[in-house]
Amino acid sequence: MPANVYRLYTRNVNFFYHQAQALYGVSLAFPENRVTALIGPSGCGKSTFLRCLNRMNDLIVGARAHGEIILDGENINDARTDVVSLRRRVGMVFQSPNLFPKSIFENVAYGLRVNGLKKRSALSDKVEEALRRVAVFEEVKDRLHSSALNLSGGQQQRICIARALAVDPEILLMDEPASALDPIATQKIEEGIHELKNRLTIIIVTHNMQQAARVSDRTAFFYMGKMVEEDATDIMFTRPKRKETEDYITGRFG
Amino acid sequence: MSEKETQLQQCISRLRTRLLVMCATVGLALDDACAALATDNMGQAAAVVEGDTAVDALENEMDEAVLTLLALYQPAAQDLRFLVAALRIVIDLERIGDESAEVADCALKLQAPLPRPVQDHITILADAAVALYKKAVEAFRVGDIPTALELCRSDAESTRLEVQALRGVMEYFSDNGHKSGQSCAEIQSILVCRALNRICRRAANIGEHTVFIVKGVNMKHSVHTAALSDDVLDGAL
Repeated sequence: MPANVYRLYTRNVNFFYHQAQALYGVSLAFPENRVTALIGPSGCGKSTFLRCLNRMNDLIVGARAHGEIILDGENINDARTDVVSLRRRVGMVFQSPNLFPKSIFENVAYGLRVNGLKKRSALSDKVEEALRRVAVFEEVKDRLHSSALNLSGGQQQRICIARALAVDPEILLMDEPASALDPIATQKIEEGIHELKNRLTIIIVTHNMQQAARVSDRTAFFYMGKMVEEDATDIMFTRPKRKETEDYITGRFG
Repeated sequence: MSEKETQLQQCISRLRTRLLVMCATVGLALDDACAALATDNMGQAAAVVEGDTAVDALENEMDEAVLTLLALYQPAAQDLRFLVAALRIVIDLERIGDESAEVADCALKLQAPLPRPVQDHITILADAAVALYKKAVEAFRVGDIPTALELCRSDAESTRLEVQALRGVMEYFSDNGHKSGQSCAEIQSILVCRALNRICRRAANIGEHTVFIVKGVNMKHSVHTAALSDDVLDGAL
């Protein structure tokens, strides 16, 4: 399928931290309502690439991106792009839970308030819906107004996902969302991803090969700033075409 | 990127060695069973039947080892393909062991050496079975795809040889005044032909598994009958 039929795709993306080039001509398309996993060794550029997709790298001094990142026909690297609106459409969840020192309710409602929603009942409905989508509402419904920081790590991460979902993003970026969690909490996050992809396009960076294999529909392997191979996940994990991919996923990488 | 052998790969190397031990054990059983039948050697035939328990034990050992590696390491790509294929190859080897024991058992049940013409018909089929088996083991050992593909295409020839042998056996007994199915030698000869044909088919399976290990292409049930060419397989991996 040609890249331009996808709502989100990149074409020849190069990225620099000052003089150091971190990405080399990455072209990748993201099918709608599917999970795409980005895998590769540390420092290969997968997180840098992920952050390019909602211009989170803008916050880094000396960072610059070239190439096209097309969302609904428009290059998000264009100077006219409204970055706040972009980040509402392309939400992000980080490696460690990064909740505000506020109540569970206020954490999830935060983005809604920033986007101008003030009516209490509408906020409540949206917060509950977001919490239900990550299957944490039943666990926290009796303490919505107590500090979110008192929750377990797994619950906090699901609150972070709920916070990202509350503003109805079309795309969700996840940067190793379960790397700090125990197996049970990880399983809940993964089950959440399966549910969420019915309404969202998800792009996940993970170091956990089994997790990539379990949750994603497509997988892209990055190495030294280049996208080496991309294919359906079942093919990538059973019969990858490139030797570098084979070596990495079988642990021969040295 | 440099290559290093991980703990999983070391375990797979050991498993591969044990699998080749099983190949050799089964190969000896097949050779001995055919020789016992040809030479009317009862002792050799009895040894093959008794030795089948060693093959069964190897099957259990392989099963357990593969399951352990799957559970502990969650392998991917060529490692996963090798382990899945190993489980399948072990089943084929065990069945070839059983069929060899069946040939030996038939030799034991014969009250006299087979008539020369009957033995000659069976020998042609037995030689084909032994040759196919050796070819299959060697293709697996070195990952030889052209030979493995040749094995995948061998079913028709195996059937032709079996039909030829059965016809020869039945014609001999009919021409020599035996009522069809009434002679112990005729029945045992037919059973031997069936067992040898099944060995040929199991050897072909090992060829399919070799293609799967090396190329990642499933050759079972003629999925790729139309694509049994190196050109098509070149596209894989």
